[in-house]
Amino acid sequence: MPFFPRAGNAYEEIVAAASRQLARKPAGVSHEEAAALPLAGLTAWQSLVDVGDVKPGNRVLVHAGGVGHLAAQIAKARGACVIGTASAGKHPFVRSLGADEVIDYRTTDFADAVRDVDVVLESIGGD
Amino acid sequence: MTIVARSNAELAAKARARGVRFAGISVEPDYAGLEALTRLVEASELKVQVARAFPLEQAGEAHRFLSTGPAGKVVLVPRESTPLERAIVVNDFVLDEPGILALNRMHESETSPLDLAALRNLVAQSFHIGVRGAGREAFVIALSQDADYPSPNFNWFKRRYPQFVYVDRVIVARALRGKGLARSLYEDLFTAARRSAFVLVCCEVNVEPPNPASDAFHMALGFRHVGGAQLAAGKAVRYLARDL
Repeated sequence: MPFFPRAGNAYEEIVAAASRQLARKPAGVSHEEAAALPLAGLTAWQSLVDVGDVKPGNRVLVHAGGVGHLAAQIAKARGACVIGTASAGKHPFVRSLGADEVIDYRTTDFADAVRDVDVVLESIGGD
Repeated sequence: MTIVARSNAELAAKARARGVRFAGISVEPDYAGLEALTRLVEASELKVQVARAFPLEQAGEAHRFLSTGPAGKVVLVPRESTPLERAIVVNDFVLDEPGILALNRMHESETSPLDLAALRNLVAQSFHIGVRGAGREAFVIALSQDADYPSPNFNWFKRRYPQFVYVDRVIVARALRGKGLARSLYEDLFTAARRSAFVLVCCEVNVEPPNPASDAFHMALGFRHVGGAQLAAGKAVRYLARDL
């Protein structure tokens, strides 16, 4: 993934990129799935791993969404306990990602409902 | 942690008052991160949810769909993806064309003459370009089998192998020899070729006029002799190939 959005040239069919910004496509997934991974996936990865330094046993709060659904799985893979927020209709989906607890943000203020969280990945505030 | 403007001072102050560390991030290119994600996907620990894919022409439709709040990502697919072999991947955006031509002129006898038009044609067709010092210090130009290139050496390989990366030329400035530049250019090339699922890298080395240093260098890199040819003007070459 090149620098986004400037060099990424969204909606271009062809872009030039430095080879160090590219990686092979994961085996066993479609090109559509692979295309959906870099921007949201790296946002989740850099947030949780590089900045948040999520460790086994940490409690991590994520919000459902493009970044959030990947963040939940990354946190899980690193041995964290994942708390997800989503509207009720998306709870089965969030649980299928490995979330240990799911909160309906429409009926519950997660700031009150959640305690002892080590890392919060907040991607809903501002642009 | 939150993904908002890095400089959101108000939020940062609020967080500090509550004893919480606050850090904003803006996602950046990250090869190591992409490889880590790839490993998670291949270990079935990470699955990306694609809500729907649209043809690029229906980008407007895709945005309308996105505004309905679907679970997962929305993907736009260009009409026809460009074959990877033709993608131009440049390690270093800055190519010093006059510098590359000057370095090439010093080594015309070992490689072949190159003018600006020919260089640009090679770059446009290349599978991989590697440069050090924007090409003034060292460079490598490599093509895939799909290149349209009238070189007898390239076409010798093309007649024999269905798929390969052909090293058209690799040159290191005389004053910078022995520092591992050529080896590092080759290692980058091997990595790029493996990532694109190539299994063979080819090149030729002169026998007449002889170039024993180049021959020994390529042998040390794991190349083997696969043939040879007598060319025009008394030139003779040995063909080399290396499996990836």
